[in-house]
Amino acid sequence: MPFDARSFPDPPGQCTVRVEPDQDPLVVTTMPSRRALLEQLRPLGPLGPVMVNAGPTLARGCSCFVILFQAWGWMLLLFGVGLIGFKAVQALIINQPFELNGKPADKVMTALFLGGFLTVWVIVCGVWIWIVRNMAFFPRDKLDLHWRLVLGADNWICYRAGLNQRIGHCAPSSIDHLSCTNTGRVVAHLTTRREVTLTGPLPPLDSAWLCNALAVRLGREVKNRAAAYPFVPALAVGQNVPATVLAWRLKQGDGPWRAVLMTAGINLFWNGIVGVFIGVAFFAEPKINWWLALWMSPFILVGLILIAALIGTVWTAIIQSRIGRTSLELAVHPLCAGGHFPAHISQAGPLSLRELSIRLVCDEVAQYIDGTTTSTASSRVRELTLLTLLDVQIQRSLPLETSFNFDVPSDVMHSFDAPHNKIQWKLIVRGVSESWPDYQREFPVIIHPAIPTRELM
Amino acid sequence: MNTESITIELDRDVYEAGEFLTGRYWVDSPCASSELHADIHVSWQSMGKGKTDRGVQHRELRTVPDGEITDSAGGEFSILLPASPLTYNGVLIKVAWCIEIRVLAGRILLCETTIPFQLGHVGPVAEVTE
Repeated sequence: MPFDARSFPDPPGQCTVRVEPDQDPLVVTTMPSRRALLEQLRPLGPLGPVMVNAGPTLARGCSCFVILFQAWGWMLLLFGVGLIGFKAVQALIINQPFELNGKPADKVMTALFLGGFLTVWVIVCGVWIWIVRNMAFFPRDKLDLHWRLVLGADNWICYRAGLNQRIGHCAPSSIDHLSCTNTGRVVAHLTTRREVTLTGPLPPLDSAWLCNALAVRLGREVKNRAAAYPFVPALAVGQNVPATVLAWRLKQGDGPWRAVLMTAGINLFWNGIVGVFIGVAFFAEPKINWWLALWMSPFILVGLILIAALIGTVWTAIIQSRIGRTSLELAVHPLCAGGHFPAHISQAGPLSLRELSIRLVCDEVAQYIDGTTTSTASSRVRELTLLTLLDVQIQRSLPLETSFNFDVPSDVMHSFDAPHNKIQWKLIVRGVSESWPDYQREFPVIIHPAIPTRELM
Repeated sequence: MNTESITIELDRDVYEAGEFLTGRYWVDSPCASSELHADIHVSWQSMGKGKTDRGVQHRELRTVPDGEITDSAGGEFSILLPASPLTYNGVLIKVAWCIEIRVLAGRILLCETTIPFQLGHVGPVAEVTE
């Protein structure tokens, strides 16, 4: 079905998506208009228009870095596999002698050595390619931040901003339904059961509006349509799990083993490097190199502190994992300000608790610049005790099961998610035990503003 | 030197989410020789410890019609307000809404005025200590 700009609805306020005027076929994009760019760069003076004009050329030039970095990884992989394969053929098939540490090695040792070397080589190259594609250098969500969707009569094509690289394309007639992903991309589900990404990542309101606008024009349904508000986070996929007593079981936000993994990673990095220098100072020569050892002492001290931190986090994780599972269920989620909500808690035992409490808390999280680094500050600004149980004895075969109701006051701030400032709500279950250290489990929740959402169209 | 000045008058200081922001503006001593444009912005911005975030709810460029009074010109506005973010005065984060009108003659900025208003009724908060 062909579109024209006149029949396409105007984006709501605060929406980053815009419909390009006077385009045939219709183009929907997140790229700022030339006028908006010029206005943004006005403080740069005459340099502003130069940068705006050079933008597309720069984008095209820089886009080749992704391919270059990936190609480098693939080249290394092929080179390594080729070289090691060649050596293996020489040693194992042609029976040419293979030397390890200056001595000839037998076939088993040669196979083990070359096999191990090949495995390490493939892993290192694979990690490089994966990092280039997904993580540090070129994460897909950042590359696709600005995009343009060309809505032709027979073909819908989404391009990266200023480039001819396609994010996704499909025929509108083949679309069964549309949905939004966790990161706010609009996805077309085709009748062939294939999924096609039609946009880059978007804020919840923007993706909900665009998904709805496209679906209405196509006469298709939108799956999992939820209320969307500007700068209010959407439910993440998996945050609501169907439950047994009430409608939804909340996903726990703080995993104790996550902290262990992070501390272990930092330990491995820091103490790995320090360990090499210790080895050189103490074991590389017949005499200990005391100057190097002295120079390394502050770094060793930091390493020891990191080891202590790792022991602490492992101990906390063991304690947390030995305490039975806590499950929190809600009849409605997201919550809304001024609402009354049924809830249910289940705590597995065996546990002997002096007190078990459930609190609804609000944290402000602000990202700020401190010198040359970006830091994050957090402050708890609201705390409502929803339930307190005293002297709780939980048997192994009989978990604690309690239902309760709670109110969210009408004057609370809703959940807020802007690029640098966030307001996060969570339910915290805290147990004060007689024999174990106290434990605490957090369940992030989303609170919507008090008014019902108006139609997105 | 520009002699123009702009005045914005809101019907209320506090608005509910989903209501219309209503009011009027007028330009005093408008320059009669050129057509005037009013660039109307309704936006919010965060303040406080964190880096500033901004959102524009409404933007409109209008031609300022001649007023009945010879030495002033202006118009009325009625702008739909969103459901969020609500005005908030927190410990680390503050969210403030405002309407800003800039008067332009061609591409030359003659004058501008900003008036804050409150969206919603979020109560006061204070830092909670354990």
